[in-house]
Amino acid sequence: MRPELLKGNLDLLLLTILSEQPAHGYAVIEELRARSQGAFALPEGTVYPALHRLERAGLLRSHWSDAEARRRRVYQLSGLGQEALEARHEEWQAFARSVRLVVEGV
Amino acid sequence: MVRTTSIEAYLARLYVALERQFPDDDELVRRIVAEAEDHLREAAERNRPGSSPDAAERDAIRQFGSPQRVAQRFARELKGRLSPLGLLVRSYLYVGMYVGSVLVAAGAALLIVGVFGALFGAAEVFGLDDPPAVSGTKASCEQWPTYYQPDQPGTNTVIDCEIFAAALAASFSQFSESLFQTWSLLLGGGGIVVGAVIWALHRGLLRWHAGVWDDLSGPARVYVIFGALSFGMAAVSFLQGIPSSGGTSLYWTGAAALVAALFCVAYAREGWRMWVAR
Repeated sequence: MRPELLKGNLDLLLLTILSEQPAHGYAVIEELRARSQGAFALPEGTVYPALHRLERAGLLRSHWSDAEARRRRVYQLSGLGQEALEARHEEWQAFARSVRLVVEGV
Repeated sequence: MVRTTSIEAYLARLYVALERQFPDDDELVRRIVAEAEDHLREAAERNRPGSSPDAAERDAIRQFGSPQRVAQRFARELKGRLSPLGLLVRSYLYVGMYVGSVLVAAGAALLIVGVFGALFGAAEVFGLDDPPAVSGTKASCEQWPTYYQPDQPGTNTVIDCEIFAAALAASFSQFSESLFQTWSLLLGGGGIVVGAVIWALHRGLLRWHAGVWDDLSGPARVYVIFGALSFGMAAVSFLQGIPSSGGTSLYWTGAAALVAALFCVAYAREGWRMWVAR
């Protein structure tokens, strides 16, 4: 899949995954890959900048966790992030519906 | 001897690349490197079945991306979205530096003119003051017969020394004007050179501070418009210094306005492109 198709939707994907449970970066990337059946196999280093940006925007919170063998940064959705997720989900549904109408006529 | 793994070498390069992008934020750099290390070690462990440790680490690094690319991505994501107020203030500081530099260049040129004028006589050399009063004697008039042609063309005889003095004063005035035009050329030309250098530096600074050029926000676009205007003014100053005669001055003025307009259109176009790209 061409990367530009993902551009603009990465935030929605990350927020969706993190809305279910807090996770560290590697787990988020693995989940993204698994759920998309390998379609969203991004260069992994590009996901972390997006996580940082979402955190700066107040949509995510993060903290260091020592629960596992390695110290890891765990991300979770904030209240603002939940609202943003709902709004972006609606936007995406409307967009996907419109694209389908044009491309497939249904 | 302690062996350096591929991951350690990668993290060292990533640290350097991030330091270049975020020289004032060591805490952020360390956090990113720590997250990258966690990610790479986890990925290498998962890649290990069926691979040598080295190959597993190399695969993990390849999937993560080059240090430069990761650092640039962080810069694009984090620095391109500075708070509007922060970028506004920073942009106007740059505008101040830019315009100020042009003014300094102009001031330096005028200072040089003043120093030379003090040394050699401003009125006689640089035409900054009114031409000195000319009072010619019959003898001095006769030394410069070509300055005044009497009513009978073809002769070099000076008839009226007062008329000759007036002619000499007018000639001096033209000479002064010519020198002033020369200084306008130098001033305007210097302004353009300084402006171009400062423009390039600021563009680099903005790119450094705000990530890739395409991610600049509104205040930065204000900056490019100001830059275009001041650059255009320098161009006008330069072109006005070009000697002209008769009706050609209109052409030069038109050309100066055209140059300024072209700069403004070019930068406005870039601003529009950035706006669309957001």
